[in-house]
Amino acid sequence: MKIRLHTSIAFISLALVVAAWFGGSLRQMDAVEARVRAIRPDITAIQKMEPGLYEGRNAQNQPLYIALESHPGYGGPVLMAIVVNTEKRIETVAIVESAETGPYLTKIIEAAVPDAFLGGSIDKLPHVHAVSGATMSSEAVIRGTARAAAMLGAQRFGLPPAPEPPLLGKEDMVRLLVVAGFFIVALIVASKRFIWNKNRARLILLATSVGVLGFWYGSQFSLATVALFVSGTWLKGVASWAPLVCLLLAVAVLILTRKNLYCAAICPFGGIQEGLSRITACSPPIVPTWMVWASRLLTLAALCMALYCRSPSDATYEPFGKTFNGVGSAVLFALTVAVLLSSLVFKRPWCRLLCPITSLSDYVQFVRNRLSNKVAQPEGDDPAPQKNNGATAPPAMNSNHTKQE
Amino acid sequence: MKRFLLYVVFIVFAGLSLTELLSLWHTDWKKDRSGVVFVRNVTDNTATAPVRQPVVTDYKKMIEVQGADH
Repeated sequence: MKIRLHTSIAFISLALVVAAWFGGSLRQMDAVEARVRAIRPDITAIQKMEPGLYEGRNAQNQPLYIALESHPGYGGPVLMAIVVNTEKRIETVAIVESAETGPYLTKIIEAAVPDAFLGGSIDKLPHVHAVSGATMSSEAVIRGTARAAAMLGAQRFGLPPAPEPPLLGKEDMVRLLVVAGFFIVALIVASKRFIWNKNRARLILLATSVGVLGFWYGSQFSLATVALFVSGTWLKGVASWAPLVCLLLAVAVLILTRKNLYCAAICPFGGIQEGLSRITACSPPIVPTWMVWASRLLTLAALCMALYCRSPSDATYEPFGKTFNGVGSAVLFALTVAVLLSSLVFKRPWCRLLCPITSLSDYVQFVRNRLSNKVAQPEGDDPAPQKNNGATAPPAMNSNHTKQE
Repeated sequence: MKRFLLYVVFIVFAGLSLTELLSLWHTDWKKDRSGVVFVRNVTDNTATAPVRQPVVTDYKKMIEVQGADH
């Protein structure tokens, strides 16, 4: 009976996510057209010529062209627009849509980055430097503008198209290799052939991950990364592929080995909590069922909202960014402090109570087990106790949480 | 005692998470879908005119993303 109920909940959750995705698509389509008109209200008779390319008339009835192109910033694609006259001169530069952090965007605007393109010809764009302290955001503005100019030049003025930039930079390639390396080591440690102390090796790997993936690279994935992946925004490019690849590897390992190695041996935030817990030698909390489901409901709501608004950052309630990079609101700062302090009382309190990745891994494991019909025993109110953070394969939905009373 | 602490910790976590999420959702929900973030025209006199304000979106309240490598 409970299996059927959980299966129904799993289906409904998936349906809600899909509905949010569709709703977001429709919402976005309506917005683009309205925004094109808002860029220059004096332009009339605007007609769409190609995807991202519009033509209109100014007050003197002369044709003007509006080109839109995006480039990945740190929070997601930054959509830039330029208005160009028949002499190929840029009359207007606009940031149409952005999910970049507010202070960074202010910095870019105050540094007059968009202004640098005004009055210039689209076939002789100036070389604009990125703003120090807002590199990725300013690169998104600069390259988005350049791509819009190149697209318009090729479509309307017969200019040669600009070469596409490489998909992966050297630095990002190194990060991907490091991320993959962590998963390979975790698989080796978890394998039966590993003859040394597994727990010690796991702790060493966790500590290394805190330093490398956490503080140095900032490559930890979050619910925002999941939203980025599900929404398809990553198809337009991302500033860094490392968190996305980390997510895909974690899910792949979970499905193939039925072990949540990411949470157990790699997650930097989990590593910090576990390190603090060792100071007081505290035990994991015993989590009531209603708390488990409250956490899952919050995860589902955040994911749906992020998909509907097409803003992956709308799913960001984890304190990872504040912990490792100091980026986040005052509320996230308070949450970070709360998690760190409570890690002295309970082992891995965020992981056990509210981490959305725990909810997601429960879901993936349940679906996997259901599809492979491995759920043989009927569930009771007190599922069997699990070892720390899913190091063993869980039987059903209540998988990554400790035993209930 | 530990159960009481657990409830307190959970309420604090959930309360702060919900506060953060609701502020993000409120910003996005109210965002005018017809506005743009920033516009600059070649005819704008930037020497004397103030920096043009965003048409609609309050970009200063935009979501702070995690782990920015800026």
